[in-house]
Amino acid sequence: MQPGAIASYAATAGIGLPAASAGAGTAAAGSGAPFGDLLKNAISGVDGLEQQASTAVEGLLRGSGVDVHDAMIATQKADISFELALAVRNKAVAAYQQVMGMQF
Amino acid sequence: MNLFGVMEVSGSALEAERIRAEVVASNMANAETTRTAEGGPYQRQHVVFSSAGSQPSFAGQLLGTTGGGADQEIGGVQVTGVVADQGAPLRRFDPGHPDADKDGYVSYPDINPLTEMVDLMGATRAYGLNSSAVQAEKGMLTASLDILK
Repeated sequence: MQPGAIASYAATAGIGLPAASAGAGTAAAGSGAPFGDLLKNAISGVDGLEQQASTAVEGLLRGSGVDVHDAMIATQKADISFELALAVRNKAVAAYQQVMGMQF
Repeated sequence: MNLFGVMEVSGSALEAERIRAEVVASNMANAETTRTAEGGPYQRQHVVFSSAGSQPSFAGQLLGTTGGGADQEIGGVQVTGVVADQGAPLRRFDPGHPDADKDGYVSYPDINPLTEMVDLMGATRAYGLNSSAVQAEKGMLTASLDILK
């Protein structure tokens, strides 16, 4: 395919040219919150869910009127949100190691 | 509604079905009860469910689809109340009973064990299917986590 054909295809398909898309990318990165803050918020969210789960299970074991399904659902929520946080952490570490292993 | 919305909805249904099973158990336990705090025989109890959260109206749906309104709040179920059956009590001839009236008849609650057992089966099955919904939601969440791998 000719280069001109690619440009005309991009124009009809509404795809921005590389220069335009790069400009949009830097603008989006500049306005967003830092990755560290995002991670901190996510971890505090996971911590909150885990505390809810531990309160529910403790209440269930004490027999203080906590429903069994409430304790189970709280446990599952904590489990899944922890798995999500772990997956994000693994992905971040993998990206870091990939950058560190870069050869010039 | 966040990621755990289905779990909240199914959790409310699990609670409602547990209360329904409790009411059925209470009805069966008191099938022969002739004395209550209010006087007279035990009255059969019914549990009343109502939908928590707003019912989606047509205007709300339209606004939600066109992006003009907030997301419709999808609610679970809640137990509005437990109401007593207003049916007449069963009258059985038993002159020796301490609660017999002057004609020798005793008023018993009008509770049919068959009806109660069917109601209990319904509550058990409904509990199970809502529990399956929680399992399905868990599977969906796990599958979405696998996207990252």
